[in-house]
Amino acid sequence: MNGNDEQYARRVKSYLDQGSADVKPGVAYRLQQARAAALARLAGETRTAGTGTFAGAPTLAGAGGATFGGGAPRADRPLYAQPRAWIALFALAAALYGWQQWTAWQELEMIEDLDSQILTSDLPIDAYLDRGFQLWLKTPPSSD
Amino acid sequence: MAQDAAVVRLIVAAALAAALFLATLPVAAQMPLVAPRWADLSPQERQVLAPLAPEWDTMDAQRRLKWRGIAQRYARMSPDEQQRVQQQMRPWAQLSPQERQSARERYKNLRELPPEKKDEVRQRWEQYRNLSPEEKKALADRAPAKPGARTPAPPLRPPPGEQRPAR
Repeated sequence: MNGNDEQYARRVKSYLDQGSADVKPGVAYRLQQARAAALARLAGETRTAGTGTFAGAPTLAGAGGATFGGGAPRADRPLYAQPRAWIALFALAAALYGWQQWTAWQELEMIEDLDSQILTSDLPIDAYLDRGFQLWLKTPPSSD
Repeated sequence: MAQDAAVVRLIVAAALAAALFLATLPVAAQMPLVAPRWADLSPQERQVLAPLAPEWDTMDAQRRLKWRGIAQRYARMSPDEQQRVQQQMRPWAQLSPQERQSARERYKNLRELPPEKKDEVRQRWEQYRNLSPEEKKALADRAPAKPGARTPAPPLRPPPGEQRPAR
């Protein structure tokens, strides 16, 4: 800052001091409150930026704890960011896998039961496969 | 966003209910379906399933588990049934999946018949076996083609008493 600048600053300051001296007490109080609020907000943003996190992080951590504690999911976050969505997805996948396995087991039991009956049947397998015999069964039996 | 939260709650509830339901199923303890190796079978199971030993490793999990289940039922079968199982095991295993499915469907139809009708089917089978190959072929040619059915008629099997159990 050179000599001209200092002189200019002093002149501005004197004008400002003169102007502020004429401000009414009520207006001065409101200005003071607004300044305090602005400084507080500025201080908060500076702290967040200084820790290297983003503004939503404290909210996320809080919501995560609330999820496992049974609280309501935060409605201000996307679906994929909610732990409950992942739990639901996992449970659904597990349920689907279980259902598929159970169905396969049911089918296996049915086929095992049927095949063991066929194998122990007093008709040979060929009787169930032979096309000619299927037609032979539909023709009326001969009298001799 | 509020709708998202409601959807999440609904999905969680449905998924947990489904998982709980499945956990209570008695078969849940038997899952998953894992194909047993030949070496995993008990000596009794290996003895019963000996006709299938050469192709055991080529079977899929479901077929291996099915045959193992049949081997476990084997001890509860009568001697005649055991003999029939031994005779028919390998031919049955060598059928194509379509042939097996077709035979199952026909068996189910015959199973529903009253006892006197079943006796009649057995008698008709004996009569059919005694037909000449030409007569059988004529019948097969006249029969409508169905998937899994065989034509011409397969060779006759020897009576059960003459067939050596395939142990």
